[in-house]
Amino acid sequence: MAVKYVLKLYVTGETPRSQTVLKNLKEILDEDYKGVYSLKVIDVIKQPQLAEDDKILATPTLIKILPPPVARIIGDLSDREKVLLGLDFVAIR
Amino acid sequence: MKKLTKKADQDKKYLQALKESEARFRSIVLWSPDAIIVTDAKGKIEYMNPAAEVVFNRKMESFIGKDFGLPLVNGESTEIDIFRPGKDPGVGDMYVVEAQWLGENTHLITIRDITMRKQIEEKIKQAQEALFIINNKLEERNRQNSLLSEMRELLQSCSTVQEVPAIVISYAAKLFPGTDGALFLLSDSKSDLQSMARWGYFPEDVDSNIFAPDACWGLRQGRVYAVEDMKTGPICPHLKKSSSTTYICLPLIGKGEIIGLLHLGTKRPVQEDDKQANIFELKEIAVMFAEYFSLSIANIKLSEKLTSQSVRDPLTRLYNRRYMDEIIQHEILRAARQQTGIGVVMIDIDHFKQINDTYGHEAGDEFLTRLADFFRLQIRRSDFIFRYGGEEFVLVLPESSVEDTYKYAESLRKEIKNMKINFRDQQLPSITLSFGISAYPDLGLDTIELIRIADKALYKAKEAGRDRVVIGAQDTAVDITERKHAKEELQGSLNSLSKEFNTIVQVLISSIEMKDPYTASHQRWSANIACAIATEMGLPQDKIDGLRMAGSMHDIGKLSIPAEILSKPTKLTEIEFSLIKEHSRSGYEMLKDVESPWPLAQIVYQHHERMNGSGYPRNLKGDEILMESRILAVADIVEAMASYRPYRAALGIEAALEEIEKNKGVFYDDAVADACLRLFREKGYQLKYDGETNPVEKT
Repeated sequence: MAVKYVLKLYVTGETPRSQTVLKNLKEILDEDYKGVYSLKVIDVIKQPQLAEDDKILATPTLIKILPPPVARIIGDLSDREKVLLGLDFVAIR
Repeated sequence: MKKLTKKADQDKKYLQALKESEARFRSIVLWSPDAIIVTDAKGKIEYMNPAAEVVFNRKMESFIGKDFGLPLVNGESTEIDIFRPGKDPGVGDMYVVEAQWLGENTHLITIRDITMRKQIEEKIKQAQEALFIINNKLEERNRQNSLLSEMRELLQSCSTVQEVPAIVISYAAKLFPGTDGALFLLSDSKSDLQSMARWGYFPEDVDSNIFAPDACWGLRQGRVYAVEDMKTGPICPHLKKSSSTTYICLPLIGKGEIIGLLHLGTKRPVQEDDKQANIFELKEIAVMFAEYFSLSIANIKLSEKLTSQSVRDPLTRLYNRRYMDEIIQHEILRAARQQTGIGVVMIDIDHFKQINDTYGHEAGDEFLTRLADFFRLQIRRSDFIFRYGGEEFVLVLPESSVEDTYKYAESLRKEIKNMKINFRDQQLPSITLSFGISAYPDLGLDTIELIRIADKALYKAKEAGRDRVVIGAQDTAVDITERKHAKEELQGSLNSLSKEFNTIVQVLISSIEMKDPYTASHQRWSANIACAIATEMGLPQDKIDGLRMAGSMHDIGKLSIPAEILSKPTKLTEIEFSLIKEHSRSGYEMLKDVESPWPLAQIVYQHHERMNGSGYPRNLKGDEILMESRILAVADIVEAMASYRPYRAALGIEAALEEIEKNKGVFYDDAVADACLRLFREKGYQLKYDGETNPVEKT
């Protein structure tokens, strides 16, 4: 199956928060979108230029690149419903 | 016209109020230290306050219209990381609320920079963790110290080495958890170490449990030897079979010497940072453990030694049963030689159990102690009293006949009734004793027999109603015959011995005569006088015979003194005199290995001793001097003074008797002196010389 969703996640360092966020996110995506998403994780400490280019202000910030439109969510990524809603994975009522 | 102006004025006022209101609210936003961001419903930035520039460390113009991101919370706080190039990332507390702005949905986002606070919180957390660890370590150390104290107390109450291993194992398991270990003791021969306690998975094979001291580096160096990784070693040769990865070997030192080894091994590597202390942290505890253990082993060994050497009963301080066997053996040999008898009395307290039950064990102990004191006071110097059992005592009376013993026991039996014992302000009932008598040689020839017969007699005394003395009876007729035979045999061999002996004696006496005829006749005369005194004192014939024998050779030591000194007419120099004094010792040396029924060597050795200790060569006093020697001493003086000497004329018998009288009780035994005086003055004993070699007695 082709990858349908392309995502970019910005985190700060390898702090417990970063690791938790990654774990939560993967769980959410693997539940219903396994195999159809691609996730790139960028550490703003290691690659600050990328973060600046993307105009990142705070982490964790998750950006959906494909399919359009581009959507960006920020903050606590532990609530499944909210994450999917925010990324336009589900239709907005 | 007026209506328009009013409306215009109203409008103006309204506008003014609005401006003022706006200014007020604007200043709140402008001056807020927290970043305030307003985004549209999708997260596009519409406004950022000046604080945002500080918080995010960049100019904010380029961000207007850009995507901040859709916050997923509403009306809540959430923590985020602040990305600010040029500075370290910060931590922010982001509060989001949805609001209506000019008819549209917006997000009102406030971000407070809490980086500093976070850092402080982190420091506090680290400090708390460190404290927690230290606290745990302290608690653990306390626990270990308590265990060590417990162990030390338990070890102190051990009385044998056998009780130690179990204690050591249980405390080792608690003090050194997770270790395999063993305690070794150095054998008495000091040639090897043997394990006396093992815990954990310490191997059981022989090589691991018995080995020579130089198989351990710790013992060779005399201090703790530790190996962190047994793969890199070097490991002690005695640990070939060990499955540990880390270990320490700790020598045990007691009284400055190596007495054993403590070995602790573990499979856990040193780096593991878990709650259990690693093996090197256990070293301190191990050192204290080893010290306590060494101390208690040394103490136990000492007290074991003391107990085995003990000859006294702890409560009464009387000699104990073990010592009694030795003493009686010794006395039997002496009595056999001197042909005297020994009385053996077994004594038992009547109704002692009742006293214990009625007044308690402490009262019983008081009884025993007082009774022991009583015995000690009553008996003669040459007698012995032993504690034989719980309430039994044995009295041994050397040089006593059955009759003597009986009389003595009777007097004790009566005397004890006068003893009053008080215990805790209560007067205890007076006690009575039962006595069973046996005697050497008439009622027993060895310790076992003597005790058995005395015991039987005691039993009879109890049966017959207590508070009495019963003399033992010989065993069955068969025994008597056997004993008679034994006695006859003994007598036979003594007789043949004495024939040989007499020959030897004659030879010795002749040699004296040849050297110095004066000494020869002096000896003969002294012997006669001594026997006469002994007869007057009522001594047994056997002793008189011994006295004659001893007397006739008492100056045999003079054989080794140059004749010139012996017959020197003038006063002797000090050196010459000390040579003369040596003759007692020389005589003893000559006679001590001669087999005879009498203590000839001792009699000769002691014949110049004086009752008050002023004699020679050993300054013996009073009771220390044999009776025969005391008699011989007097006879010797009398003869010497009464007869002719090369260096002076005869002083005469009267002068001799005066000397005896003057120093009676001082130099000479009272009874002996009295008998001598009686002999010459009342009984008309005379010395008459017929020529120089044939004295004639006249009584």
